Amino acid sequence: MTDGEEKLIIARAVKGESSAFGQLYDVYQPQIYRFVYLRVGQREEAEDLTHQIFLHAWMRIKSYREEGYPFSTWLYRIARNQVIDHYRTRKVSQRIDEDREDQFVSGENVTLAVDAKLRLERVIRVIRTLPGDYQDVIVMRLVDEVPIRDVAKAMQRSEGAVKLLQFRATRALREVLEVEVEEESYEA
Amino acid sequence: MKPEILKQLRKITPDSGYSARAKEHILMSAPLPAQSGRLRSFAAFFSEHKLRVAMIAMVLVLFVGGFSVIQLLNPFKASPLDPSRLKVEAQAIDIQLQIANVGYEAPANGPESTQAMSRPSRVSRSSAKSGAANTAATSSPDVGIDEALDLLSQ
Repeated sequence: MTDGEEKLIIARAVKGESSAFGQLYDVYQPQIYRFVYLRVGQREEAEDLTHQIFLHAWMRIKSYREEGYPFSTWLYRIARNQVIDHYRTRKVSQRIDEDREDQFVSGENVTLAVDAKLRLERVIRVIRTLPGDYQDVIVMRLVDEVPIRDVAKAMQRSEGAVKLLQFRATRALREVLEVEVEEESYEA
Repeated sequence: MKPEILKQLRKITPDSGYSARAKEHILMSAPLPAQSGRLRSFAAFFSEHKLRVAMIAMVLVLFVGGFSVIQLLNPFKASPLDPSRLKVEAQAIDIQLQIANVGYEAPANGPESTQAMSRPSRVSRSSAKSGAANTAATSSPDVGIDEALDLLSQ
């Protein structure tokens, strides 16, 4: 979908056309689901939250204003707020779904090697031990490669603050992963 | 840490069955009407500063409530009596009693008494003034407090 096409679809969705919003849902739902899943670590909760996010977006689509940012930036902002509210209201366990191989199944049904899967699970577990803002930056910047300007808008911070957050988040992630690798090597 | 491993996290995708059901359920709802500019900015402000708005509202409620309680506890407000009017009435009683004392202290002789009545002497006037402080305790045989109050009510 090109930018021009997307703008037309968004304009139709803002007028209340459900099929147009359905197209936007198909494009952005996997991305938002991934963001939420990496934040909460559980499939069912990620599905519930993603549902709430898009329901919230559809209910308030008529109030959407572009303001020079992509539609995904608005969705990320809603997603961040929903995740924050989720942590405020519920006691969230640290478990992640380790027994669902289809978590990593792409559209072509590619299966991962066991060690790669374990490595990914470790990374996910480590990401979730970091502060919330670090997690947001890691997922948006390093996983989905969202531009800094859009991340700053979604997080309601300056671009400089986002850059600093990214630097600190990456360093923290590396430190924790290195410690885990060292511990595993001592145990082995 | 290699960035490629993070990019592999892009392979995390939702279940296709869930996605279809969720989409259908969402699109069954109708979107809310667009908010006006002022209302939207107010809503955005309110949603961003919920705690501050709540605290300010609580302080206002406590202030207004406390002020109302003070007004209720005010005895003068609670009673039908007006302090300023009471003061005026008390001063009027004082004057009436002074006049009554002047009349009482006038001599029994005719012209002197008449003169005394028309022009109260300085002694009698000063004695009336000094007696003013004791008017509450003593009453003139000619005009009592009750009679004076009756005169005032008329």
